[in-house]
Amino acid sequence: MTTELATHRPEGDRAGPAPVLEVRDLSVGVGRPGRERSVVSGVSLTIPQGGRLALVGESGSGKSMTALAVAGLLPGSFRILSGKVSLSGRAIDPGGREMSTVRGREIAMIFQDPMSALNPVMTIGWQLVEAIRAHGALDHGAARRRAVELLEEVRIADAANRLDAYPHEFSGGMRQRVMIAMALAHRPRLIIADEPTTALDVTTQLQILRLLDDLCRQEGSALMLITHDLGVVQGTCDDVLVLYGGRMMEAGPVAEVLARPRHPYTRSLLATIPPLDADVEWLTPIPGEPSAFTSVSGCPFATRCSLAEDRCHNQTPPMRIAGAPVQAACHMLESGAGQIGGQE
Amino acid sequence: MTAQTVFEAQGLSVAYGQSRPVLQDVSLSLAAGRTLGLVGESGSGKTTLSRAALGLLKPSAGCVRLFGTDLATLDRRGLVALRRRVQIVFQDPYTSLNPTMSVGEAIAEPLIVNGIGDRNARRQRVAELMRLVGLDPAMASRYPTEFSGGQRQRIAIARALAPAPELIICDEPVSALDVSVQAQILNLLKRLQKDFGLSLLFVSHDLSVVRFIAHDVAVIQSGRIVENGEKRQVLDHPEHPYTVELIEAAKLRARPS
Amino acid sequence: MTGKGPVLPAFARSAGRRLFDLAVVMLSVATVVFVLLRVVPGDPVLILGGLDVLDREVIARARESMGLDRPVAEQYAVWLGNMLRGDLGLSLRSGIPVTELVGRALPPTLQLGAMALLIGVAISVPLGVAAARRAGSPADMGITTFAILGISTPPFVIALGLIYLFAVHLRLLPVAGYVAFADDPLGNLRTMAMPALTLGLVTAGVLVRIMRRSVIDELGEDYVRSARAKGVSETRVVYRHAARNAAIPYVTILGIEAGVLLSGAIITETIFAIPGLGRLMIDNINQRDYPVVQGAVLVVALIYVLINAGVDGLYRILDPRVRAGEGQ
Ligand SMILES: Nc1ncnc2c1ncn2[C@@H]1O[C@H](COP(=O)(O)OP(=O)(O)OP(=O)(O)O)[C@@H](O)[C@H]1O
Ligand code: SF4
Ligand SMILES: [Mg+2]
Repeated sequence: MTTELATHRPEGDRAGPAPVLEVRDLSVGVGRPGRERSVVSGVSLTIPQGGRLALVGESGSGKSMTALAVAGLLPGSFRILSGKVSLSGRAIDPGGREMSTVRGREIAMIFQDPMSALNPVMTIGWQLVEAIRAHGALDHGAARRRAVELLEEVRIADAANRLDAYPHEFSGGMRQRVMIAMALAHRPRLIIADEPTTALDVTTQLQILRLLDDLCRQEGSALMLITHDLGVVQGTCDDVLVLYGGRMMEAGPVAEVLARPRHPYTRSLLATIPPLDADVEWLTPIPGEPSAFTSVSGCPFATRCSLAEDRCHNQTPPMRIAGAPVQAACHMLESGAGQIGGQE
Repeated sequence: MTAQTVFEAQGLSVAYGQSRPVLQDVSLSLAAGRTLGLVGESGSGKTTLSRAALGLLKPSAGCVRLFGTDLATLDRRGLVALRRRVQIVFQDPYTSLNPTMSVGEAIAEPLIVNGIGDRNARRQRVAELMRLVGLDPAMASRYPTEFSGGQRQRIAIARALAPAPELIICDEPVSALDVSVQAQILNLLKRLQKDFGLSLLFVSHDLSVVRFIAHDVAVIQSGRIVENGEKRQVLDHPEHPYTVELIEAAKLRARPS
Repeated sequence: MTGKGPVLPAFARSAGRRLFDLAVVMLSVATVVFVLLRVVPGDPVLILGGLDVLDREVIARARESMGLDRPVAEQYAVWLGNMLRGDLGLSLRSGIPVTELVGRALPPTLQLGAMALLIGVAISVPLGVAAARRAGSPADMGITTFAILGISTPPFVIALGLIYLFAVHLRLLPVAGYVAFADDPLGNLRTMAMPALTLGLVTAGVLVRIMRRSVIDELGEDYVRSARAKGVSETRVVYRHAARNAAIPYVTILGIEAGVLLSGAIITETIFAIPGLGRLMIDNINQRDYPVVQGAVLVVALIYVLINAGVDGLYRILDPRVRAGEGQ
């Protein structure tokens, strides 16, 4: 796969400051060496300074594994099989020791389930202070004062008195605010939020997403937002990368991809969502269900795709320009990229 | 002429223990052959209301009627007889099926419980039900662990349909599923509802899902029904501020326009 | 919710409930022991006198003096009443008050148990954590093997091994015997070292496995990932987060093990000739000396109950959710 094609640069190729995050051809596998199955293959992405990229896909599409690989937080039996990661132009080894100076300072993460993401036996204040003192040289008192400021920033009322509370005394939304506060502690250049609102109530989701959005802008942090909700992408992100079965399906500016999806998967995915403001008689589901591991060769979507033909099962389609600035990986784009992309 | 009322709550209040009532003065009704979407956030009382509809809870005030009968006037036998006519589908397809029971046994269970048919008739009915929900009847002897989330939800639906109920309560039946699979299950439920003239009480936090499947929508907040009516009325012309807030929040997750 | 106000009354209430539980447990134990000892065949008088006591009159008099001639229900009532006054009766054999016998046997057993527990904890925490951090590595396998050996080797084999090593081979410690700590602190520690190590190793075997398993489980939890995401050092992640939470299941097993230690003490005390509660019980069971056995069992039961209370107390310290739960 050629790297030029695999990398999406929204501002074109203007020379400018190095992107906050650049991932090239990342593959992640699970299992014993030599017998691993890949759960992410050939994923490349670029997030410019202050940019916002959404990683979208159904469960098992490899969104979390991509993010965890970048942050060096892959669980036990998972490994990066290949790929390069650079932060602000500097190549890093996500599995290396020096990552503990990068995590929390340059890259911060927010996770899906705020109920389990905080240590249940330590106070909120203790955990915030720990995040603050993990980098930099604030003494305990100063760190506590900073913790109060951070809680105020994420709009937790009566912050000073909340420091000694335990996580179980907070609601889900409040815990997610605490997670955001911790992520912001060192004004990281990149915040990775893995389904930060999925576990929350709808009205709380809206508040948390707005908060995250505001604070990222305010601090100038770039955002990688992982979600299975195409709707969430709109209005929050600039770019979107659609994953399926651990591979890239489509990448491009949000407005473009959502308005004129080129890839059959993206289009099917959009069609499955029931509309909020119109009545439809029937939905258009995708047959079958997402499969757990990436196919060795062939398009991972082939078993569910209505357009699939023989070569889809045998040859892996590469990412290619599908009507700039969008790229997509589908054999059908060759013959009639215009038709598919420009349909409607 | 108004259609028969399948489920009706009148001034229903339910309290667990000493605390504030979980349901307060709830009045709702569901006509035969219609789908009522019940929308609200976690802790608002949706599940409590569906439990009350099954006669599993004792109201602290008001009453619940199923098919015109006040549940409070029924003895145990009467309740059991009514239960055949009301079935339920739960949110989590992974925990709602007994892993030690084959799919066929799971679907046949409500038939056995209600003493419907002999062995042979039951086996035929199970095959018929499996085809109805889009499963291969040959898989009846397999166990739930061999099925994906969407397939398990189909199994749960087949089981609910088994005793030919008139009302099915669906408690967040698609929220644990991927969107592409969610659409399959929603289509299936809607088709079954139409084909069999079923009544559905469909509990969900997702307004677009409710808009697709329901005829009527009731919005519940902290145990009170704040808005209730025909779905276009409620969703296109919301009156209560909480409904407005829910719709705003739902736009975030809705199909991008 | 966070105020310190309601904690104390809640604690007081739970302490009151605990006291009540304690009374119920003790009464049940007393009753069971009383019944059991009378169901077991064998007449204490015959055993006491030896087989050559044949004079019926002598036997009858002995029975009378022990109260054995009265109906069982009456014996029970009298015994309960005395127990409530702290009077556990007299030894049938020696006539010495049971409280005194038990009082003498208690300190060595408590010391043995405490030292063994200390050794068990001191070994199991670092080894369990180390094994968990390197799960699957040769080091982990070595530690797990050690743990399994500790669990599956009978205490007397460990004891004999230690005796051979320290007493016979190295000539560092006495083979057996007991000196009170108050009389000769150093001598006391020298005599207690091997018995404590015997029991400590057995306990460590169980505890290492629990610690390892719990830390591995905790290391897979989301909050551990959060801590790593903050850039917290791995050592801190392991000790301040995972091990701190693993302490909760660990303490549960620790409480059970403390109880198991008491039964292990019977064998160990016999091998090392320590005049503790275990020895006292064994000796007097053989002699059908009811009051002594009853007294000893009651004291052991009391220790169990106190250990349980201790475990609950530790939960309160370790887990804020338990503290919160008490308010309801
Ligand atoms: N602990 C695990 N052991 C084995 N395979 C796993 C494990 N966790 C995830 N996987 C597999 O890794 C692949 C990628 O998973 P990943 O968590 O990245 O998906 P995701 O896109 O984040 O999905 P979701 O929307 O469910 O969070 C999937 O095929 C999944 O089955
Ligand atoms: S490559 Fe083939 S199977 Fe894959 S999306 Fe395109 S048409 Fe469908
Ligand atoms: Mg994920």
